Amino acid sequence: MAALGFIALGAWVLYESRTYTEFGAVFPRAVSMVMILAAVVWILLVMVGVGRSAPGERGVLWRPLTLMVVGAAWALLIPELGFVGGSLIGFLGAMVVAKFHSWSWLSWLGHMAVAVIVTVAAYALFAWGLNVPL
Amino acid sequence: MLGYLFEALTPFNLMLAFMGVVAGVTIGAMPGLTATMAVAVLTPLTFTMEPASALIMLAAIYMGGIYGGCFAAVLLNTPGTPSSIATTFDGYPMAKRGDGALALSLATMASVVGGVVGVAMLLLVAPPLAKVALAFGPVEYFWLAVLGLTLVASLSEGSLLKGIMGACFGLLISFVGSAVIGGDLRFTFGNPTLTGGINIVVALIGLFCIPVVLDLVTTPDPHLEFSEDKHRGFRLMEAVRQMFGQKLNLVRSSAIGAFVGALPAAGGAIASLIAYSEARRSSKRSAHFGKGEPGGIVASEAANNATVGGGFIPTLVLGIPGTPPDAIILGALLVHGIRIGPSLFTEHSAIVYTFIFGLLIASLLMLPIGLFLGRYAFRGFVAIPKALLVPGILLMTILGTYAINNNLTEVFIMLALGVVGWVLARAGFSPAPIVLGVVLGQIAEQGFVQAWLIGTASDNLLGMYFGRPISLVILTLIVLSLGYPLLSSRLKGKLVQGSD
Repeated sequence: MAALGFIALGAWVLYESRTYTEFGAVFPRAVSMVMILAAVVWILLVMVGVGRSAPGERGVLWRPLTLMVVGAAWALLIPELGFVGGSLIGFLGAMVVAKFHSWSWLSWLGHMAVAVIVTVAAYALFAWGLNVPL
Repeated sequence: MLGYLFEALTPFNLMLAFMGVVAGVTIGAMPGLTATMAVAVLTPLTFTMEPASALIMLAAIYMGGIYGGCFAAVLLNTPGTPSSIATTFDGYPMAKRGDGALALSLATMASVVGGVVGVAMLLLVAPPLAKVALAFGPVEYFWLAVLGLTLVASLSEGSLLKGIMGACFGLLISFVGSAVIGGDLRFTFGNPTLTGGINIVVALIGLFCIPVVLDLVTTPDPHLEFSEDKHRGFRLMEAVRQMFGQKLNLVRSSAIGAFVGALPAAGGAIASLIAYSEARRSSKRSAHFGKGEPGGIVASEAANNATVGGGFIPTLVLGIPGTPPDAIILGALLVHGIRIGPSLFTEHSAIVYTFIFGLLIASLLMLPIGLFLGRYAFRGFVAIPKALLVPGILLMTILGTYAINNNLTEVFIMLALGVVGWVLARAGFSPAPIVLGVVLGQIAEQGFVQAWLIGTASDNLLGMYFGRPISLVILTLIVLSLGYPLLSSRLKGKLVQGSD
């Protein structure tokens, strides 16, 4: 599937490069052709049984998918709530996704305290230590 | 000469070197922060210092920053800088099996030796090596970039063909934005942020770090293995014994790093990959490389720290900065009224030689600092529960990405690349070739197009690409690097390895 994706991407790049000047098109075209060739050879090798597709990592998928949503929400919240506010909510959201065992109320309190401390410390490092305008 | 050494050893300069190394290591160890950032942010602090002291501090930060990249590479499978990509191949597997402290000790010692060799090259052979660097033209840089890509494609997990596809994908990512020659706006979709292209650090964090974070939450198992009986302090004697067994690897990798570092813009990534590839090829334990072989870490870290000294050769002799930190340090030299060029070593010998000795001292200071930090870094890191580790890493990556250009769009790009990298990783594609494609894309394209222009104008296109002596040497290495995995797997009885 990934190899097919690369072929499609290479074809799209070749199509897009029609509108570029010669200087801007020559190298992307060369790279696309190499990529398509490599993908075609890979597919052929898999079809004849010489190349094997990777089984990849296993494990539950709902957590990483939820974490992707949390990450996107985190970045969207920052302009609305500021870095500290947005990052606190994002931090807590990611914390819940990565929580595998049940916690006592004391454990919850401890983790939330750490979330606040880490977020504020990181903000301080970047905003005051590294002069990043947050 | 001894006078300059004593000048570098004054308490004030020693303190600056120490602080510089600590700051550099700390910043270089965090994903999202780079050696370039560390040098850039701290440069203004040095404007009121004596020139030699200012340069010692900046060089110490740079050296520490390059070395610090190994911490994230070993503990998080995320290179702190592109120079540490090859360190992830064996550093992370070592950490996963509980040898993280040993991996960090080895990386520390290899970095110290590499740093010292790089400085020695700078001291002894700077002017002649600079002449060799000048012999590298556009086509040589193009083939050098291709060599780096074919090496990483053949070295990383998964098949060679997947590595090539990944490298090409990385190159395509590097084409986003304004073309290096011609200025065409490519693949920007009308977005002003994409006009400036996709930043290398954004791609590095996204493709390496985010997949690690996503994988962390797929299972409740601990991130890294840790056992008390394995964790005996610094594991220093064990690391020293390993290092003694890697003497040839150490010297060879340091020399490769210093030489490649002397080529402007070639960078630590290519140096460490060439050194790693050569270490694997010549090792009796080559089958263990990529699975936690100490020789792999030694090669990568010795080479990437040697590029620091090597990179100052074109910077000081020719005024051509080898890397972005070199450019910043060059700027700092100009602020202090020091003119670059062949006469630098005569007109400003006091400052230059004091600086070079300061670089040597910074390399040596990495040993106690690195061993101390490494021991507690591994212990501390393993102790962090996933419920805090995952959001902590996300926080650093988001803040670090935003800090590059103060642009939230780049945070979204980083997250999107991370998701793509995670999906590709599950399909058996290693992130290393993709990231290296992004890193080397501009160098490769500039060399390719310039050589194409010259070859077309002189009506000798084929001769331009395939007729120059240095190009032929690099081409031979490319063919060998492509042929090695095929030959190796044929000897093992299979044509292409699948990854699992």
